[in-house]
Amino acid sequence: MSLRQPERLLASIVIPATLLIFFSAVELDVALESDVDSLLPGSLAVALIGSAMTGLGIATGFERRYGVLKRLSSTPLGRARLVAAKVLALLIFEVIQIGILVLIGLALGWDGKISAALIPSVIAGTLAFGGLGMLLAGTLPAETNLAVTNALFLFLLLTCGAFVPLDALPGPLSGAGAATPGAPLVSLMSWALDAGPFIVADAVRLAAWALIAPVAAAMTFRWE
Amino acid sequence: MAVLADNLSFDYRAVRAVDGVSFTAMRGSCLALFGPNGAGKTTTLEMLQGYRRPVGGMARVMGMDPLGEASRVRPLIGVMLQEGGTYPSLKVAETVRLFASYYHDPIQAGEAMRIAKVDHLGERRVRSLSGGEKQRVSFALALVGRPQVLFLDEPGAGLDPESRAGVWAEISRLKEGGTTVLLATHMFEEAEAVADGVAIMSAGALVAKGSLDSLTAAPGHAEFTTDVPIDPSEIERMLSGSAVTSVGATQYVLDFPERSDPIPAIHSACAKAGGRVLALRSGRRSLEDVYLAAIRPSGAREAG
Repeated sequence: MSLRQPERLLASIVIPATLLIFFSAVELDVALESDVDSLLPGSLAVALIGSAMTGLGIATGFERRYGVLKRLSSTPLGRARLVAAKVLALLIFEVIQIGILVLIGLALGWDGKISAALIPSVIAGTLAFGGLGMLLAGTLPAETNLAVTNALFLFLLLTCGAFVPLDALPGPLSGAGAATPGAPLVSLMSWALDAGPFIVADAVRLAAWALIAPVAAAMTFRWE
Repeated sequence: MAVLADNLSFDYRAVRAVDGVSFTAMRGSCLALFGPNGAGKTTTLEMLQGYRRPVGGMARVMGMDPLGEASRVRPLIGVMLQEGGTYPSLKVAETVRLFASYYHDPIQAGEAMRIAKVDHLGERRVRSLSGGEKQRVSFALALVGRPQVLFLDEPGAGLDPESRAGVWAEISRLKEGGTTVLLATHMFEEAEAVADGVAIMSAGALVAKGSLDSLTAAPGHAEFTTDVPIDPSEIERMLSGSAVTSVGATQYVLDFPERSDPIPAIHSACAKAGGRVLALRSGRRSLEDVYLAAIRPSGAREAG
């Protein structure tokens, strides 16, 4: 069903792929990332944010409004298996996303390598942003959730360090970006794609978000 | 016993939405739940479905706790919501097939669509359907798992008369097959068509319950309509101890001694006025009258 929703594909694949291609192709005389080796990890992080937070969150918000969640909870599927199905669908979708972006990266001359660290990084990012998406989807009306989630996506896009290095941002913006799970995810994805060092503080911050966001979502989620 | 509500209560924040509601529904029967908007009908059904946890009392479906034994209860129930509950972007046939896939032994999706009379809409997306068509899809989804207990929340709302009759015929057929039906409704005609029992709720509490026959039984009471005005005293003269009240230009309510037969006197008075009786109900009140009397505040009932 995800593949049938153009709005979901936009945030999850089209925007990250477009930014990857754009910043790889265009030479800008400002402090922006411009080589594909450093852009691909950030693009993958943005893609994960797009699918785990924006796609999952907005879809779930509307499912709640349409009464789909309520009806499904009375079928043998039940709530636990519904959540499990969503997580599984999201992981499959992320494999497709990563595959597409890596292929685009290869076409643009990426010659890095993918380490096994990609798997825990993706899982931690999915938990953190999926939790955030579900936290918003489970507490806000669908339309408000749509607006807030898209605004948050845009904020993260600009402040996670995927395309604009954090140290090139004004101080408060840089601090705000570093406080979100976006920057640590970009950092871990860079490490997983052999484009940066392993930074313990970033791993700890992402792990904390990966723990707190789903718990907060589970505690506050309203099914209708 | 297929369904038991025993002193069920539920609070929405500080507001008591359902207050000590008790009723039962036997296997193969249909219980209609009436009440004004906000009376707690849907919340009561949701507690029985295991969707909400009661703050007091006990719910049982086929002898099981719908919350504590949810994984055993859910395969046995079918739920039709008041509205919604479907993915707007999916086609009707895809939706029914998807829901069928959740059950161990579903009926064929095509068969569920045929029963709900949406088989011709299979390739249409749910978002493009009219309100009544969406309701019929919702009915198909409630049926597709071969439920032993069917919860229907205002199934006739928004349906055209033909579709409504089709849904009612299907409910009757399911009852004959042993399915128990719990129906929240505002339509007296719906209850009269399919229900065996009626429970009336008001402000979260149960204010009347019983079989359709027992609730509407009214010995010594008749209501009739004529095509011309009559002289009520004619009936009172012929039927000793009776009293006629005019409730409209040609509509009358007659209270009479229980052992007498009011019909000859009514026809006679009408003939004397040069008219005829258009409608006559003796010994029975309409369900609507029973409902209105039941939900009237107790002060008003006493005053009335």
